Formats: sequence, C-alpha cells, structure tokens
Amino acid sequence: MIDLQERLEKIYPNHEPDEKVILFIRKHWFLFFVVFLIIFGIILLPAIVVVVLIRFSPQLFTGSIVNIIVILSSIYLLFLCAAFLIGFINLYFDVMILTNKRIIDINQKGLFNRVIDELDLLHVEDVASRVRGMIGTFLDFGIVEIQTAGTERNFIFNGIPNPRKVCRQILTQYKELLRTDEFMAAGKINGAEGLGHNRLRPISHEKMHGRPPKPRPAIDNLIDQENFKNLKLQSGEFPQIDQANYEGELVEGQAVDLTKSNGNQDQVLIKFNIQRENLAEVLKILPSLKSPTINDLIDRNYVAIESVIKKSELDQLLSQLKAKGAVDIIQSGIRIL
Amino acid sequence: MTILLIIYLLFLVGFIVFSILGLYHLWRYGFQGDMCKIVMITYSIVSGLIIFFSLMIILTLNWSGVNFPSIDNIFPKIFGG
Repeated sequence: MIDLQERLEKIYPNHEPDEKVILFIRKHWFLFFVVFLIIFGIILLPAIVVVVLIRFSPQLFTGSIVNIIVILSSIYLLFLCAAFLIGFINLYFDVMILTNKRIIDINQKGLFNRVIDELDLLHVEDVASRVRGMIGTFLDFGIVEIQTAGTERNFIFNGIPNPRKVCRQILTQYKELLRTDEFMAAGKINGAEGLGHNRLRPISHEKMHGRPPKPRPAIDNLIDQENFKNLKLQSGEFPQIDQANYEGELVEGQAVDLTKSNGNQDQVLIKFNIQRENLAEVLKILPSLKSPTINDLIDRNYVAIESVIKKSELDQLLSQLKAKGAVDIIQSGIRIL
Repeated sequence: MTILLIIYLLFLVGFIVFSILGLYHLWRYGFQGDMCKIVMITYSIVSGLIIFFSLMIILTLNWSGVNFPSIDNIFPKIFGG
C-alpha cells in the first residue's frame, strides 16, 4: 500500500501539519524505457563488434590482448551500470507533488544536486498542458506548465502522465483552496502578488497582521452609543448640499450626451480615511448629495468615506476634517448624470 | 600489465563507493511499494555479477610476462600480414 502522506513526510518534512497530498507524480514510464533502451544499445553495440571480430579474425584474441579486452569490458559494463543508476535516480526522483496548499517540484540532478521548489497554490496564475509528438499522443504524456504571478519563475514539468487531468486537478484544488475559511479572503491586493481573477480580493486580516481582527462595533451602535441623535444612516438626515444651487443638472431616466457635458465644475468628490471612533463626529460636518458612502478598510480601526461636496466648501471642510483626524484625503472632479 | 590491474582495482574501489552512495539515495528517498527496492536489488546483482565474473576471468588469465601489444603487432594479426 502506497501511503502518499508518508511520501510527503519523507521527501518534504517541512510541510504544514494539515497539508494533504492530492497528487504524487513521477515521470512517465516511457522516459525510463528510453534510458534503458539507450544503455542496452550501448552494451549491445561493442558486443556485436567483438563477435564479428572473433568470427573474422580469431587470431586477434590471443595473448595479452585478451587480458586487456577483459579488463576494458569489465570497466565498460560497470560504467554502464553506473550510468543506468544515475539515469534512474535523475528520472525517478524528479517528482511533482500537489497538495491541498501548494505544488512542490523536486528536481534531482545527479546524486548530490537536489532542488526543491514550492509554489503556493494561490500564486497559480494559469495552468497549461501540452502533448507533443506521436508517442506522447499515444501514450498520453506531455508537459504541464504552471504560470505564476509576479516575478516568480514558471513551473514546467516534463514527461507528466495524463497532463490534462493533472491541470484539471490543480485548478480543482485551487478552487477548493479558495473556498476554505483560511483563504476565503486571502488574495493579494498588490498586483505583483495578485492572482488572476482573485487579484482584487483583499488579503485576510489575520494573514496580513498575524492576529485575528478585533471585534468591531456596528456603525449604528457606535452612533447610538455616542448619542448622535441627528446621525442615523438614513437618507435625508445628513447635512445636504442645496441641489437647487447646482449648475449641473441631475438627469434621471433619459439618455445623456456625454460629449456635451463638461462635468459639474462646482462639485468635487472627496475621499478620505478616518478612525472608526471619529466617524460620528465627521458625519456630523460632512455634506453630501444623499448621504456619504462608508466602506470598511482591511484595518478594522479605519473606515473610508466618500462624499460629493461643493467646491467652494472644500477648503473649510478640509481643515475641519483634518482636525477630526481624517487622513489620505483625495479630491477628484465628478460628472453627475 | 601490472599497471592495468592496479588501475582496474582503483576503478573497482571508486565504483563500489559510487554504488554505495547511489544505493543510499534510493534507500533514503525510496518508499514502500515503489521501484527503488527493485532497482537496488537488480543493480546490486548485475554489478556484483560483472565484478565477480571479471575477477574470475582475470584470475584465470596468465599475466606473467604479458606486455602491452604494439600497434604493429595488432594490425598484422587483423589483416593477416
């Protein structure tokens, strides 16, 4: 009985405790057969030459020449044995291991050169299989290429049996990993570490900070606790811009010719981050069209706020916001349709 | 010819050291149920047999007064000259 966990333990003892082996793949048997065939041919060729020489020039194999031939033949055969052993080790210990968390590439070169690369499954950008040639097609072996995100090198596995199934298994495992709690939100925001379709998923708080997030109060509770009677997250109860004074026209339910619009010159969108505890204070002074947009940040102590305000109010508001602890303030022009 | 025998014996020592390292690799990274055990046994038997028969033949050959043949001595034998 072949125990895949035992194999992982032996080959890669630094694996994580809950890591399970899904696939353990060696090279296709045909590559071993080729090595065997080459060595067998190399043995056979001089043997044929010797037989021919004995047949046509038996006088050659007399005296000291026989002694030399015996010793050279012995050295030759032992060399081939050694070559077979190295060839076998090189091929047999080139292993690809797919676990539920990563891909491990073990590359054996000779007796003393063993390279182990590992790739986090979340860093898989794309997986491709290639089957080339008549033999590869008939025997179903080929290349599995795994493209990685960022500057990490691509993983290329040659001579892999059933490459399409292997690709499918990698992708399945990748999706499984995304479903697990640990990696539910573990994509990278940074493009260099981003991963295909999960590139924009936020990294988990625990993975980023090494600790679970602190429990946070709901925004409504926070406001109630501090007795801000006028601040409820309902439309119409925030300080609002007087829309009648806008030069820009609000258009609803009809097509808009964007080429004719120069945007709303007297309105700007501002975005900023603020500590959650200062949220209520800021909402008190922040004007908006309906109500400000509030988003959570990965750092649970902060929230991001955005709102449309009059440009003329910007300077005064900025100083007030800064006094309330607003940071990372961004202003941009808008076009209201 | 003595020098040839010494070279051969040195080669045998090197080969045996290499074989031990190679077999250790197979034993170290091999698993229960894989091909490593089969290859270890096959390799040991085949190389052992080659060494055994080589030594047997070498010991039965007459090495006294044997010298390296010159090219002149070989070619007349081949072409009957």
